[in-house]
Amino acid sequence: MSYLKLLNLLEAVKGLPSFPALDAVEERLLNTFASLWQVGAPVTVLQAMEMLENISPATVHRRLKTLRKKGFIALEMDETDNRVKFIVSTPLTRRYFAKLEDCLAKAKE
Amino acid sequence: MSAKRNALVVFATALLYAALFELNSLLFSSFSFSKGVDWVYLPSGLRLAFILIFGVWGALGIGLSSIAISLNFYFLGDYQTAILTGLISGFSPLLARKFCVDFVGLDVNLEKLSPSTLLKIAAIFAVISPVLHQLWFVARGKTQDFISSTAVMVLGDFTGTVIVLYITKSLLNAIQSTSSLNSRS
Repeated sequence: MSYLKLLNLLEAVKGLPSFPALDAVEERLLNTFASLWQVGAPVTVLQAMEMLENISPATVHRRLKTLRKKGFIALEMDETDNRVKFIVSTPLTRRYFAKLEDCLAKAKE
Repeated sequence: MSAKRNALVVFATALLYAALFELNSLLFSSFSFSKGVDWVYLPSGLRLAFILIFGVWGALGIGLSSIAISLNFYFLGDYQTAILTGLISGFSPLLARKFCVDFVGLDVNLEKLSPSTLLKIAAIFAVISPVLHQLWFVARGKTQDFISSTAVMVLGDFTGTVIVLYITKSLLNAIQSTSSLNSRS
């Protein structure tokens, strides 16, 4: 019986939340950024604000702030122009996408 | 369970609890708020697991270990304080478990235990044990400030439990990744 209890406990531990929850807009933004980062394209804040159809730049700007607060993105200043800020990935972003890859691989199995 | 198994559970829990207490002292002694009150208390995570899995036998092991710890580190020669502190340490989590069964819907066999329920239980464990400890310390004149000592102990117990849970989660993930890599190759 103790063994079954241990298994149940470990199952609950496995399901503990790993990442801060993302809303639909944040997820869309992150996915869009990820596809650009993958091909080495830089993403500026200004570009990001026009990236999503049907989503106003103000909403995107707010979500950029929350994504930054949650640790999914970081901002880097352009070396030649202080007004330009690049959106870059963080270790958390990389872990997030690695986890998604893992889930996809498991689903395929 | 047979008497031999129960004795083994008591012995193993006592030993592991004492070992984690030592590790906690090594790692976080500089984070102590006052004597016996830590900002991070890792053994509380182990205590949660032992009580949930082994029930009263786990409590007995923790209680015995805590008595030894209290006598050696906190209340040298004060047997009454040390023994009751140990018993509170071991058996207050049982009270917390009873509370969780009655009010949070915890199944004693941990069936369908969800991660969110586990975190709720961890929080309840982290409140009940420190409150009882500090009430006892007030009665024995061992604490100056009940409110702040209790608050720090609650925070320390909860932080310690969460750290232990997430270390366990990381280990499980690592084991799972390794075994899935091995099965692919």
